[in-house]
Amino acid sequence: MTTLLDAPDNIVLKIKEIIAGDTAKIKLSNLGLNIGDNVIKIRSKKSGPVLLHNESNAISKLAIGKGLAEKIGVEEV
Amino acid sequence: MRDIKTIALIGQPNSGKSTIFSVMSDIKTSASGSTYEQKKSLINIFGEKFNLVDLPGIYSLNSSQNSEELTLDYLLKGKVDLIINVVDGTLLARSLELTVELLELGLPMIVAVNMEDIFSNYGITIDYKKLQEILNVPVIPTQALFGKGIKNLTEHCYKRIKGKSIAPGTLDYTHHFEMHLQKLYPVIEPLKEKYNAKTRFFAIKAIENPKVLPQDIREAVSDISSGIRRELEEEHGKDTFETVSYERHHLAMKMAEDISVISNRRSKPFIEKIDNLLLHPVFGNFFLVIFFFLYFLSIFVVGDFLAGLLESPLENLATYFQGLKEVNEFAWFSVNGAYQGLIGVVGIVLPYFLPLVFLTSLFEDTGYLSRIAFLIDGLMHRVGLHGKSVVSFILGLGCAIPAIYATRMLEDKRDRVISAMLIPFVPCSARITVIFALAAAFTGPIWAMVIFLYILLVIAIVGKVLSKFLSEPTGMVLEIPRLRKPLLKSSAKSTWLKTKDFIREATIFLIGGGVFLGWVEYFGVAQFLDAAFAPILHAILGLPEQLGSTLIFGFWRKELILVMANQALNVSTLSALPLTNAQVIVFVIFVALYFPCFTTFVVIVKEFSWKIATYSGILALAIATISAFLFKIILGA
Repeated sequence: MTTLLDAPDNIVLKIKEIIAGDTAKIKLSNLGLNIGDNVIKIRSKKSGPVLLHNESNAISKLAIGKGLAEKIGVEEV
Repeated sequence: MRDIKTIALIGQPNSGKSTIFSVMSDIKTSASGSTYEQKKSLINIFGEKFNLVDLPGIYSLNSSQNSEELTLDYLLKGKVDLIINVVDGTLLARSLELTVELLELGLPMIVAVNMEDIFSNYGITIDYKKLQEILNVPVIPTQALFGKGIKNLTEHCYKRIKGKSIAPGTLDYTHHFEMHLQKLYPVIEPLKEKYNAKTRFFAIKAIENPKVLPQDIREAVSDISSGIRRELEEEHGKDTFETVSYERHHLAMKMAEDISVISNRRSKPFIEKIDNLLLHPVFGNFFLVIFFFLYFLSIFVVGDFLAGLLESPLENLATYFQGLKEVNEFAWFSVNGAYQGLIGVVGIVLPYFLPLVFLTSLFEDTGYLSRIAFLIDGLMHRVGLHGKSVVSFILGLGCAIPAIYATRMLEDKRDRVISAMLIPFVPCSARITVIFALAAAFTGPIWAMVIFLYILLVIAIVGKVLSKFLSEPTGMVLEIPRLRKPLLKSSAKSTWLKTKDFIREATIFLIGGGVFLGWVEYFGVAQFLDAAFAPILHAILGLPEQLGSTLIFGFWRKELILVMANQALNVSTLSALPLTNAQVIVFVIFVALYFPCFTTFVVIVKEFSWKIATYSGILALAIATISAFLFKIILGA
């Protein structure tokens, strides 16, 4: 398992754990990101957030701050 | 009097709720942008009146945002006879999570599955009949932007309210969880009478997120819910919020899978390819710079052109009352004051207001603002904020008031407070007008750009300093909604409505203010107002004392400063003001930063507190004085 921040781009990743505070968990859940979801990192850059695609909501994208992306554990599918 | 039934529109942000509101209420409001405030309209269905309420967009009923708290509060305690849950069909699984929560509320409901035109373009088909069977509520497909399905929706609203009350369906959680809910029902049952929601809703929230419960219910269930939460935490090894939201997520996902079919497309829609470029680290930022440059340049060029067109006819108007000065001096001062006010509205403000509002509305509708937030996040972190705050800052370029309301989309109080303190520094349409009009008359567009860059620097420094005094921010999560084609018609409509509002509000202030300043001049009162500001304006900044009284009017509306400056220094056009270029720049810097306008001040008090509003005012005055003094030294004004 690795963190969402360190995971490679453009491959399907499964969210295994979210080790963040309640507010951050609610924010992620509200935007449809939950443990067990499959996501694809579209783009990450040196500074700024990680851009990803949630397979269950295929048309929209999510930007997640670097700090929070570090607290999300993922595994390659 | 007959009881008027209320229909409330509720849905996630950008689901098209406000567009439906706009169509159902016969277009009495702008369909552009996001809803951060509740909007109401009286509508007529089959000859009968109904209240239609557009609630702020929410992701869930687990309020983590201010706007969600307002919506939940309204649903629990407000007058609601029917809710229309607007579901974004392009984000079916996520949207249905809110639908599941709304079912738990137990209020009569209709589901409008919106954006049928778009999801079908992505190869998605939805079985509405099946969804209707699962939810036990009417499900209506809509394409709100084109008005399709709205007639059907309206008819179903009427039938639902007039017909026999049918309870929405119940979606069961796991057996184990349902058993826990049963334990809470007897405690909640006697207390829930004064609220709109069913016992089941309160029981689920007592386990999932007790913070959102009304105080009386929260206190009553406290012991039992703590016990259940502890038990669930030990059992699942994670907190109960996660357990319950996972169950709901699972219900929504299963429902979405059961009712939708996705056929494989051979290639991505063209708009997706454009979006990839706009979010690209190199091309995206390059486009962003070009965007801002063109945005301001267009406002300047179009504004300047329109102002030029209007200048001569407006000047000719003055000849009609010139003779009055000899006959009745007081009447002349009054009429001339009103005339100066009229010039302010039509000749100076409107030419810049129109392109600004049109362009902001155009880009807000495309979803480009959230792309700016993504691209600019790294930069915003340097001032202690997230990229998400940039949306309210961009809205602030139109007017600070919707910008202050838009801070509700920020989850953290510290981000809201910092943004609210910084927004008054963002040049609103009124201040942009002052900057552009004075720059056009004296220094040219380059100085207008320099002033904007300086204001950006001020925002960056003040933001950084403020963030040092407040706690660390929590992580950013930002939705990048689907990119939409710009809609000229919708933006033109929105511009028209905003212009109408502006003319209605500003005309009274500007013409009334003009007359008042005419009297101030006639009775010789101006010198006292000038004297009050003299220590700053004259002694520190080296500007003519007579400009002091204009600042009082600027507190009401910033555009008044232009009219009042003409009047105070007794000239008819801005270019005739007896000021050097350097003095104009010093004055513009001071005016652009010195105080939020009266309405903004009131909104900050309302949204935050007197304390924050007062700090904001004092901070602005201090920054304006220091900044203008710096420019005076640099330019040798």
